[in-house]
Amino acid sequence: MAWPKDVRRGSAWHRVGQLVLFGLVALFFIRAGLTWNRSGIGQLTDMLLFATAAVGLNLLVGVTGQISLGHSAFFGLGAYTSAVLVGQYGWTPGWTFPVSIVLCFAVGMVVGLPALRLKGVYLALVSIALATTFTQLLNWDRLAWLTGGPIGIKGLSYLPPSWTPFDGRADLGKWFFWMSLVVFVICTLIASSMIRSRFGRSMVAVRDNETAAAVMGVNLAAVKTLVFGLSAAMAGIAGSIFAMKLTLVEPVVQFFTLFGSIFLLVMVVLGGAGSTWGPLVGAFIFVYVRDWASGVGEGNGVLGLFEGTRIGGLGGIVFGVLLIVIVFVAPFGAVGLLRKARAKVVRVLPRPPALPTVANAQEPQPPTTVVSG
Amino acid sequence: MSVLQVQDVSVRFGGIQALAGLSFDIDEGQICGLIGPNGAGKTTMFNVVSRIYEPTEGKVLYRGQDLLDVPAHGIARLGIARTFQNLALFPTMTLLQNTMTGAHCTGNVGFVRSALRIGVRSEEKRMEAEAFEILARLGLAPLAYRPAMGLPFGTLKRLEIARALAAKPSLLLLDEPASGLTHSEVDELSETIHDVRDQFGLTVLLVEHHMSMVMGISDKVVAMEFGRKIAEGTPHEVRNDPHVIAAYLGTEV
Ligand SMILES: Nc1ncnc2c1ncn2[C@@H]1O[C@H](COP(=O)(O)OP(=O)(O)O)[C@@H](O)[C@H]1O
Ligand SMILES: [Mg+2]
Repeated sequence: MAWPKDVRRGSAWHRVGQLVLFGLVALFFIRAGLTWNRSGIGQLTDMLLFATAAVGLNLLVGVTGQISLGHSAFFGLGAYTSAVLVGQYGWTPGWTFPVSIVLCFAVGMVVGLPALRLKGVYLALVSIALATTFTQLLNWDRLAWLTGGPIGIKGLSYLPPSWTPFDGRADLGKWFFWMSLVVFVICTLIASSMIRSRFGRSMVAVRDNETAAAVMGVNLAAVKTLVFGLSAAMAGIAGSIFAMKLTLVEPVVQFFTLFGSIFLLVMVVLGGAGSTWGPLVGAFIFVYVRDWASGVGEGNGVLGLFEGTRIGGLGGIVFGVLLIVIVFVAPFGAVGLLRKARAKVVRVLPRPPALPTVANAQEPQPPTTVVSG
Repeated sequence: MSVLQVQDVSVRFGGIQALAGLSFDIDEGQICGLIGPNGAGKTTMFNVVSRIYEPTEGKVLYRGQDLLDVPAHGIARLGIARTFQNLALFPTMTLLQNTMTGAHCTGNVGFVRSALRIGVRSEEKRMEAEAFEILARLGLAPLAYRPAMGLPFGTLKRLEIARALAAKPSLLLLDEPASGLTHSEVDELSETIHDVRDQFGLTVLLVEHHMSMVMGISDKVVAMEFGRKIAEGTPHEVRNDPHVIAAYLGTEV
């Protein structure tokens, strides 16, 4: 038999293939959660939290086509909301999470308002202003009673509650890992359901052609503000957990600054903007490849260009070059590349609906090009 | 009864008077041809009905309702669908997805229900089947799973019609649907327009330069020039109108 093999979407083999793939990914995380050491699990947890924020950003940037370089502000807002409520008001950390989600959703919707009028570079500029204003606010003395100013809020902790199978301080890393995994999975399920629905199509319609979208009956303002809100809420919950895991918040935490916004955007693009698995793959590459690259060389970076970004030294350059190469060879991100590779082995045929009234004489041609989604 | 009443509509773009007090009516079930030289204001008229352009003066009534009170995204739900002269498709979507997006106004899974996956499956199934049927009808079913990007112009013109039909409209506005089609395709298109009108009881407003096509299928023709109506009547009357002949001087009407 010749390659690629044909598999009909929704057929038994297609299901088996999906299950195996999904099972392998699940197995990886379960094994990691059970057997990896403390620092390994810690890094994997960070990766999941970044991926969660990237899932939201992907809905906004990849699917709906609205650029945002302000998502570090939502990540930070979530983090500070939890930190303030726990650190200043003595809340139980778990109860601060819903507050973070709702607050970030609301602020996200308001911040989404400029997107109703601005496009492209102009929207990007406004969102950059958001990211920088946010760090300024964190440093502002007038708000220091709330945010702790430049010092931030320290000594946060979220011990596993008694109903969980985790054993207090000893299992802290695992507790955060499983919590992050569950939150990531929920956010991915929401995003994936959305993408495959009428609302998801209206998001893509807004990205592809606003005028036509409106003529089809899509309420542009509603779609843009709601997606802004949702993506902010996902960044917010990720930030909340991140703060508890870090046990502190302060204005210089990289993911609360503009760098964080850029990193999240890099993850979305690396993984494959618009695709359901893109954010996870993107965050994975970002965290682990950057980690590997930073080992390539040490130092303060060429002309101090990468100073303070943690990707100092040669590592920064290696990572930067790698980024450029990936974007060149894989314009649809790593997921696009993986799809292309898979298409050499297995071709997934569409399953056209059975039509009672129209004789469906011709078999629809399989999709030829890999587009997002 | 009139489905669409255009009353004294004027549109200005800076110094250009694109529409200057245009008025005409379309009756239920009619195919109304709208003709006129390039720049006469036909597309502008469509854009006023779609609420893309705000008229400086005048009123547009759809079954008695003032369309100027309705936001752009509310037009489709009233039963008005249109195609675009210069294509306004969703390039990254497949033909099937494009057509399903055309059916947006027939569905009701919004933000919350899509996130919680409530009622999504059944709606997707219905929209997919209906969209596929429309694609099959326009001979596009074999291309259903191809992205719109990069397909030939003639194919995409037909996709425009498929997407508009997916909205199950009662008033269909077609902006030069035959441009870029071959001779036999034009005949086929005439037949399709006639068929869907009869089958779904549509009212159709057709902008077209293809005179034999317009004259062949229209119940009534409105001729425009410089944003004004210069003639109105049966195809036969309009064809022999001295103003129309003057406007098309040199071209055969
Ligand atoms: N968005 C716009 N901005 C400026 N001028 C426009 C715009 N749309 C149309 N026009 C002008 O209005 C006039 C009518 O155009 P149009 O409605 O496209 O004509 P038709 O469809 O009959 O060929 C033309 O002179 C055109 O240049
Ligand atoms: Mg025109």
